[in-house]
Amino acid sequence: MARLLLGLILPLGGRITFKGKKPQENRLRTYLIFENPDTQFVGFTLREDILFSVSRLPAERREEVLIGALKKVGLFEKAHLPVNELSGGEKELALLAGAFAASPSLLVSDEVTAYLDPISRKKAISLLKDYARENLVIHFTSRGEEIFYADTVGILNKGSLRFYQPAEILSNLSLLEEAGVEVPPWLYLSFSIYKERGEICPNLQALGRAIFSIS
Amino acid sequence: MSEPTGSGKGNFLYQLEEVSFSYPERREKALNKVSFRVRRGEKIAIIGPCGAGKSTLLEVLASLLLPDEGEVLYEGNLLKKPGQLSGEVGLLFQFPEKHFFETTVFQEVTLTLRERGFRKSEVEERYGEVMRLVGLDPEKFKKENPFKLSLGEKRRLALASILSFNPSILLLDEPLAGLDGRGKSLFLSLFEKMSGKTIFLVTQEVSHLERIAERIIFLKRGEIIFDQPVKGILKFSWDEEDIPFLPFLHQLSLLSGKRMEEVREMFPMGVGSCEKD
Repeated sequence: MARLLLGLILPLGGRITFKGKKPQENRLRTYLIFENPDTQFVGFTLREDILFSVSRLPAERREEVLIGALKKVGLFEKAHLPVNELSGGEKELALLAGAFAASPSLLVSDEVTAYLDPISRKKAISLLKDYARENLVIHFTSRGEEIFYADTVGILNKGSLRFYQPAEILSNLSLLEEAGVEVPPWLYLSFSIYKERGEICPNLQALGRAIFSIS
Repeated sequence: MSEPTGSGKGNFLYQLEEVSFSYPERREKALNKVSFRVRRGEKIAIIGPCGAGKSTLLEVLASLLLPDEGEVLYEGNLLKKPGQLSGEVGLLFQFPEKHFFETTVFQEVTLTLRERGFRKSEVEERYGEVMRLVGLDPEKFKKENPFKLSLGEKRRLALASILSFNPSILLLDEPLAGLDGRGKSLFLSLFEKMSGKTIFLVTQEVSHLERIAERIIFLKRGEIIFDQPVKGILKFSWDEEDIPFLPFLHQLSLLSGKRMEEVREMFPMGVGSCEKD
């Protein structure tokens, strides 16, 4: 699906358009973050890699965008490192920096939170959410809790779309589980507690407050 | 597979004494004076923030990296040569593509066996065995290109190629990352079955680690913050910033001051969708 959206593979039937154009005509405006960071890196050091993302900008702006992107994900101090010396989680943050630097109108991310620790995960997701204010972000994930950051949730199961609605409308978590998405326990609990109040529970801390009155 | 031998100093499989390691371009050390001992058959989870040195530690245990300072003893003997333990350990890399050299699944799984001169019939037999063990159909996948499989299939394939030579030590780097609930279930039950092996599991999927590990090592900035059995988590005085990296129910218990039993009662549905099978 992610590759179809970018026009890296073509559909056997049907049609995909983004801003009225086919994906393969849109490549300069679209960006895919791969599942495996090592297949995405083109530079030897982190800095060189991000430079590739900004290569279409006028020379005098490149440095500024590059630094901005690295600072955003918290890797500015590591810009001089060879990409193969980054840890798995840092590699994913580096991919995000590369994507932000390229500033595509459509950003597709394939499991970019897979190797991140819980704190960096939250950061990565909020960065994507920020980016989605002015652009379209499609985030593929097998982590159930991440649906709360999205405006619209699509559930893919065995190649077909089982649900495509705002997250608030999702009333049945088993739809996620049937599709093989992992649903963490606090999501279940928050669903039952918050559902009654007509709100959604955004995170573990809020849930902790709700059930144990943790300050 | 070798059984606990009891040979060597104090019966330890591994002894790490003040092990430090730095990468050439990095100012801070990846591992800083890390010491611990491990007995054969132990199941250990290594957790902590990204960039803490977890993967580096696995590569040191695999003898792929030799420490800059300190000593690693294996069955009482000092590790001196890179790759010295290659016959004993199976290292599952974080990104499965790193394993693949061959163009078909069969060639990939049997690479080590063929290199070690196993007979053709043995190679065929072992191929079928390990593929079934990881839940891949040996016939269906035989001629597939490893690089064209899905992430879950790639991981299983990488695991099959490691299990092919039956290592007694498994070093698993984020084997659950990017897998869906079903994929995680399958991997977890696989690891549970490997009772005789010594397992080191690096993971961010901490809700599941109780199913595999008895002991937890918490690494941060290259140092060991915590090295105890799982139940020791609740008695330890954690820095507030480290709590989010712990298993979910332990977090709730620590934050609320409630006992684990009380917290567990809040979750009749278990700890995540992988718990159910």
